[in-house]
Amino acid sequence: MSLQIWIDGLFAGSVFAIIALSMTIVYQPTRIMNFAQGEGFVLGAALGYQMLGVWKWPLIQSVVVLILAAILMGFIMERMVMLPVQLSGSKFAWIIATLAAAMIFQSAFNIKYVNVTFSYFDIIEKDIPIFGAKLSIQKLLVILLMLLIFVINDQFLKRTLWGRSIRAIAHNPDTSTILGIPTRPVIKLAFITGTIVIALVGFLATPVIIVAPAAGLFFTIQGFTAAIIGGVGSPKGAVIGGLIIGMLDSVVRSWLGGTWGLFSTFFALAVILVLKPNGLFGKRVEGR
Amino acid sequence: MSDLRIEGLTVTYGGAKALDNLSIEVKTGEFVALLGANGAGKTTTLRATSGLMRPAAGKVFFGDQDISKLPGHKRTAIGIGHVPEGRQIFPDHSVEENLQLGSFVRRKHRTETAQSVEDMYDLFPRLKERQKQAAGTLSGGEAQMLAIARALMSRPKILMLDEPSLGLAPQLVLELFKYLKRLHAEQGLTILLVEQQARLALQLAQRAYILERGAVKIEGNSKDLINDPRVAEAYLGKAS
Repeated sequence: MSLQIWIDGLFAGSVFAIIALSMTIVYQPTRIMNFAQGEGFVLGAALGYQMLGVWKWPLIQSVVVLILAAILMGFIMERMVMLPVQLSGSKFAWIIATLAAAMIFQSAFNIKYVNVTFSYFDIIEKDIPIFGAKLSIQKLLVILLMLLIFVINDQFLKRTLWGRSIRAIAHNPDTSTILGIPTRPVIKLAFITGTIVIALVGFLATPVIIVAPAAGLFFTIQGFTAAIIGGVGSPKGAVIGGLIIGMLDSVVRSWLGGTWGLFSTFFALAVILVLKPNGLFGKRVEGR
Repeated sequence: MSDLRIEGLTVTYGGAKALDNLSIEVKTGEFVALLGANGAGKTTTLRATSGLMRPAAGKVFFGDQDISKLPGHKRTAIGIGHVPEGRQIFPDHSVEENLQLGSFVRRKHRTETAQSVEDMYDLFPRLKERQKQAAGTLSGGEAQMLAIARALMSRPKILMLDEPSLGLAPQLVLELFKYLKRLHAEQGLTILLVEQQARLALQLAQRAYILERGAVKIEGNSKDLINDPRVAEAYLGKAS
């Protein structure tokens, strides 16, 4: 099997890992799996297409605008998801609230971009040769972004008081509040950070993979699958889960053909759910 | 001054009144017990005071400040400590991490909070033995001590405790109440204690309120209430 397949798998795995990480960032304080998370990926793709592809803006300016837009989207998303959850008091309100948010964002992208698929040129069009295979700078950037986000998130949770307070909020928001932890602002910040993270990978990965305006839910499902395989809520699990499905998809795709790629990832999901229901690195989550 | 004054507090749960025009006051340095049968509104009183519930009517004052509109996490910062019902320690965090989370509002003062952790270990030596252990592995009594120590980490002016004796062996309850007495006597901490064990609470507290159906039924000095037949009656929930 050629090395190229593994390199492509590493790239795809990194994309899925970042999506899973961004879902984990939202999940940590809220215990909510945000099915609208993938729309942030499309935001990155759409703005990349608009700013780099259509308007030919300089890179720095585009990244700054992208981050501002992601902050806005995260802010709106938090209201769309948390307001119904807080008002209804239902344990399951988040499912319908996050799906509704996904539908609304998807419709907005579909209205703005009719018959468009997002693609634009690599930021730096250069390949690094590796034993006959090649790794483009664009793919390398995505892989590095994944590692960076993982390390920052992991260290933040383990080493800082704010990180510990996020784990505390996940366990019990009321008790966190009476200790003086600003629960709601932390949750807002989690949505905003998660959206920035996923918008950045959408922005960087789109030149390689080409993204449709309605593809948000597809990326959500990939990230969700990765998170479940790795163990929901664990940053390490998000990365390993993402890499597993990325590699698997790439290998199976080249071996049996494109349609089998997706099949293999869901098959892997089914196997993991049977053998290790909490995922590879997941802890048992007590029902709340 | 850090008197706690609750005036005409009404809290509703989907139409039903959990608190109905409740007024109580705890003066600085006092030890006050809040007693009553299940469902009388004791926990709701504490939760509304901590800002976990929005009252339909009424005001909460702390010192001279009207804190009725203040978000819950800011009430901790001005000196309201709350040990919630069922302890609610964080089981996946270590004992020490639980304590550090307790000093969240004082996080900028690192040396001070490190000293506070040591003070808590002096006060509750058994916590020191288990400082690196996950809090979920503690016994019921140790967990309750951790919950109290964690609340003390924010250096509250008033400490509200919600049924700290719940689920503890009688021997541990006595030990726990001894700690509360010490905190009150030696450190001058103002305490508002919610308890099911009325007799014990009345022995500790200077004054008490007996709640019934979300309002104050009886109030007075503990000495007078301890033999008052109406207290037992209120506890049995006998409706007038």
